Amino acid sequence: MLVSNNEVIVGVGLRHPHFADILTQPKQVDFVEVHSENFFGQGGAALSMLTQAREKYPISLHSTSMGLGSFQDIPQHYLESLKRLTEQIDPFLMSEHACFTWGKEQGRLIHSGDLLPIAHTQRNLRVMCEQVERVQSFLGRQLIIENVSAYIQFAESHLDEAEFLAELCQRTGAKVLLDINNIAVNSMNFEGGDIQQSVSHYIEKLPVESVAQIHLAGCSTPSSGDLVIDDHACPVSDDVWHGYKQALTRFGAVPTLIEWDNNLPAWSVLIDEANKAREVVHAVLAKEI
Amino acid sequence: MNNKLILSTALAAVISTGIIAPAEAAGKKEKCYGIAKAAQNDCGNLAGTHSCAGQSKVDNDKGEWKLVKKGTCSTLGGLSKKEAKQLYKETKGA
Amino acid sequence: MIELFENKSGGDDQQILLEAIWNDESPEINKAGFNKQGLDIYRRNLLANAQRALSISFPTVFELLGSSISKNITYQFLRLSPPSQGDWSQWGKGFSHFISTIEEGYRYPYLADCAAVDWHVHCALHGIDQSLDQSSLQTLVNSEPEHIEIVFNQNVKLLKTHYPLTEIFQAHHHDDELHREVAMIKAQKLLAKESIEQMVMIYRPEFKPEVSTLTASEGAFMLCLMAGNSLEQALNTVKSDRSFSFEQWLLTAIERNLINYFKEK
Repeated sequence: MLVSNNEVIVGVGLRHPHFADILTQPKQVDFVEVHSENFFGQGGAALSMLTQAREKYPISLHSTSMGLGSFQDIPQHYLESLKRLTEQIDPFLMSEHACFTWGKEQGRLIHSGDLLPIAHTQRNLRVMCEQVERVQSFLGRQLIIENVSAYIQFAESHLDEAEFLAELCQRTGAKVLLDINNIAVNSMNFEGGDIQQSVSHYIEKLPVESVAQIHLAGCSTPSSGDLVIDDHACPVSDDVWHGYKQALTRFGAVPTLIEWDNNLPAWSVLIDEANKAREVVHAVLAKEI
Repeated sequence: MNNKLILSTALAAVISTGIIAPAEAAGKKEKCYGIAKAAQNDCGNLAGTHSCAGQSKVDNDKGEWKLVKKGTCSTLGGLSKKEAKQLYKETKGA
Repeated sequence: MIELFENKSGGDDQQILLEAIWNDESPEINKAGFNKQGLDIYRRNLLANAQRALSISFPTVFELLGSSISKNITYQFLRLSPPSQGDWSQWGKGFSHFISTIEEGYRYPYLADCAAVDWHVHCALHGIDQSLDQSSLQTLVNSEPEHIEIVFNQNVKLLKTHYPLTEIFQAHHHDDELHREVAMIKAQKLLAKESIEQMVMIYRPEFKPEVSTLTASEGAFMLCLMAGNSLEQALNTVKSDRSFSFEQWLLTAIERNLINYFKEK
């Protein structure tokens, strides 16, 4: 595909140790992304920081426990907290994961874990479409849904995750948040580890217009025999940079985010990673044109 | 002094001390980023890491919450189990 | 395999995974054929998220107990009172009560009250931003004392206790190390006494929650107001205490941002 837009928007994940940096350093990235649930409080220091950061940066709200794939309904109190935050921050993107959160235990609705994988079946697709539509209409916003690292597989999955997401977007008007590292992690854990091929298979199943954001992250190398865990503890790997180039070639210069959570480096290191992404985009686009 | 007089005297004191002057309030503004505690929903995005999945490599974790090897309960002079039970009952009865 | 699962009622695949994560001995694991290594990642992640959440919401309790006991307590509390909010920081309302029912709560009877202080401090940190409506101060002279009520900021909480909670809190969280050591010694001394009574107040002047001890009169005065009584009634409850001065109380209350507004009944 010929990329028409050669200006890319690059941001970084904003975490607690960098709160001072975001408010005191000059602006060096195009946007920041935070985890919505960390700002569900009605006031206080964290929310004040975010409100001040908003004066300088567009904000992307990335949720972690909405549980769009849950068979149980997303609790109303959760949606109301998210709506309040949305109205306060006016994010330019809102995203979640293709996973489940809510379940019943001894008759009680519980937050049963984070980023729990779902089987990619027609039934789960219908469930997730209903949840996505409900949330989009309640918030009055479009959702962007992220592919996940899954550490277990369901025998009953008869769709690929990419097919599942493509269909979900087509039915609901939602978009895809393409996490290249999650494709890489699943590739290494369950698909033989040819990351380039896994990315290639994945992205060709997604319509060109369906991807609205890309996540880039790095993860630790596990001990031999252990599963790779998506711990966001390292710089983006060469394989993931390569996957990013593949994605850019297909989807164009979509907003891109550097995620880093564990062994968090200095703010300046995150900025360097963001600038690297920008260079990659320019190189890919130059080639295309 | 009757209660009505107490109130008006107190209000006069509040006004004369300037405690509610807006300029001072602005000068006292704390730095929010120094006060916000570490976030509790960041692990959700990790699905298991050294610090988050407790893969026993906690010493590598530069997380901000303090990991105390030995509790300070011992420093505070823990009670014997017998005494503790007695006190617990009193507390519950109160 | 596909047929088998598709014929089940909706959500069974999720329910089976949930069961397998939450119950270590779950018979569902083998039936579902989940990879044990993968399942363990979700189990560890759940426990680690829970422990991290509680250690941030209850920093005093976690320092009091130490990390090895805390992990076990987290595991128990997670099973007994699983989260349902989606935001880990909102989980733990029942933790203080839970502590009062377990062995450590018997052994260290102040532990449950320390958890209550931690929880109120934690809630205040994320609580709504409120400050004094200065125009309402005029109510003090425009109305009769029996018709005036004080509405406190939502982050203000009072706790009656038999333990030196303020000292224990300062011993763990005061910014100054010397201050922490002195508070620890004070707490030790007070704990050694037969019985004490403390009225502890949690409040938030701007963003940082504070913990301090009130005098018996200050406590009685505030509790009376918080119960919805008039200033007249509250002043009468402390009339016999000559050391109580409303003027002084009001100045401190404004400085500490305790009051939201004055209203006429």
